Amino acid sequence: MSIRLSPSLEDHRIAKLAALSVGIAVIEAAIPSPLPGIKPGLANIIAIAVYFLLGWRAAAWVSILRILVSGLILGTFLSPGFILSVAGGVSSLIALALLSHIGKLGLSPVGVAILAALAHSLGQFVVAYWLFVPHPGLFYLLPVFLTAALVFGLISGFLSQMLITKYRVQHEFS
Amino acid sequence: MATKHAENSSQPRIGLNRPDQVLLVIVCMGIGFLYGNIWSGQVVAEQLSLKVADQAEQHFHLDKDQVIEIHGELGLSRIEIKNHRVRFLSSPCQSQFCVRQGWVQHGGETLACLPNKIVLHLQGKENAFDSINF
Amino acid sequence: MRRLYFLSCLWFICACAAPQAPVHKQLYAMGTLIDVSFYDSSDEQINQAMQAITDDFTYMSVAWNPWKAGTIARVNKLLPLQASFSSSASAAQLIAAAKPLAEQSENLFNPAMGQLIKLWRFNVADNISPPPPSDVAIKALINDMPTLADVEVKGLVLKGKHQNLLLDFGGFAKGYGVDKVIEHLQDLGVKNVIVNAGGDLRAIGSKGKKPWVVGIRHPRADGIIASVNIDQDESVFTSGDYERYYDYEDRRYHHILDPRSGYPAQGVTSVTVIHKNAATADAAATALFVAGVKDWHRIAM
Repeated sequence: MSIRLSPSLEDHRIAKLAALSVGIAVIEAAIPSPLPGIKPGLANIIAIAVYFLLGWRAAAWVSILRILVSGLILGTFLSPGFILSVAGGVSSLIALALLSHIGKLGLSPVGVAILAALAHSLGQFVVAYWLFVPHPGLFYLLPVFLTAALVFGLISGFLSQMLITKYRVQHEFS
Repeated sequence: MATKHAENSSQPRIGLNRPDQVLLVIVCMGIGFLYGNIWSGQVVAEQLSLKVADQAEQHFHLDKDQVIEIHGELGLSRIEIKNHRVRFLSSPCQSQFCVRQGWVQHGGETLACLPNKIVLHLQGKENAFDSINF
Repeated sequence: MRRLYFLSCLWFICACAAPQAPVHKQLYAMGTLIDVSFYDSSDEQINQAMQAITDDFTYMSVAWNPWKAGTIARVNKLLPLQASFSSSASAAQLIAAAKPLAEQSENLFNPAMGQLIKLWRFNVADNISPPPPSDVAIKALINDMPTLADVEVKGLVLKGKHQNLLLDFGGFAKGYGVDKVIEHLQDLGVKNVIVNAGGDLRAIGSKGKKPWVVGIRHPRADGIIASVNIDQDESVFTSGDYERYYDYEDRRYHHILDPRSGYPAQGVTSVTVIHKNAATADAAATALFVAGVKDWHRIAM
């Protein structure tokens, strides 16, 4: 006996996009970071694009798959780093859900990416503080983390904007 | 054709729309506020309070570099303020512990020459430390 | 309206209520500076507390100083006679409190080695000068070194069992005194306070919702090497070789003597101990300093 799952077109699409963002995450992990705890998070380009093109549910799937799979590939599964990236991922998804709830406020992918990146950083910070370093000294780093989130959110926002535009143009003409 | 599409769409293809700009300004202000709140005052002390024996405290701003000469119970102590830091330049005590302690700069830090009964206490907006162990 | 939504979110992140500042008071006692930080105490309470602290420390600085005419000095005169005598409650309690700590530290914290301290002349405050004592004199002393086990305490009745007994509670009286003062302040209803006696401190309570933040100074260089947050009841005591020393013929002689060798303890610059009890922290810092890198782990148990 075997159970047959029939993956839908949507499932295939999510799997492909998740695979793509795992690829980006793994490549990014190989690049040394100037400051511990700060990295560009370029895989979010995919998540934001998916959020705009396919909606929150799809973006959530892609993000969760990316975090789990890249954790397994990089061997960080269930390590502190992994827990932090789950915290960041979950909090940016919560931010995106809230944003959907209030109608995106007319923000473009850039604005959404900035908010998601800030939520990501903030979520990581809170978890890092509660679980790993409950030291007020950590607060000195909060503005630094948020600045990095702003800059990288801006960059990945522009990139996902380009991705979305390109995708839409392709679909218009194909 | 392409331009028309951009005009119709609520999102321009590349670039920041109005809500993005508003968000960016607010976020920048928020982060700036955090820098101001978390980083200032706490780390660097603003003024030096100097007390000789049981006399009233004297206060000095750390903005101005100077050497303060003050008479304690044993004699003349010289205290240097430079680059927002403070140290005992010289003191008439035998142990010279105060001079060897070097510079202090955080709000809440204390330097003292006990034989000469001089106590220096740094104060910031909010002190980084309530008490110092040494 | 929607914009207000995340504006308020941002506000929530940024909003940090302006905290009430602790009140600092200072006084000189026990040959050092006592710095007291109060939080959330009334002016009247603070005045009462400062009076209590002044009285207590002034009493202790005479009573427990073996080189002044106090109760420990009297005990020191009587102990070498090796006969029973009754002492003051204050002295008997001090000795009784130090006994188990000396034993646990395998007498590396040894308040009974006053003769050795006297030989090195570290008893003369702020007048420490070379040269160090002769090898022969040191050897003679450590070959027959008394410990606190040689002092019998039965209630207020003491009896010495060694002719070289001379008590000096240098590595203990400060901690024990801080404990006594904290007890006194608690009786007066003070809940949030740090009593810092010349760098060694005990903190109780907190700064409202925030913990007390205690900085630990680097023993050699400028600046703070660590900070400790205290929001319950904790003492931070440091023993360091930089507090009192002199240099003689290119060698440094500091004031923490190793009862095993009779010389200043080697190998460690400073030891910081955090413990609920100030007396224990004080004795432990001394013992661990003497134990050095090799033995500290065993003694710390």
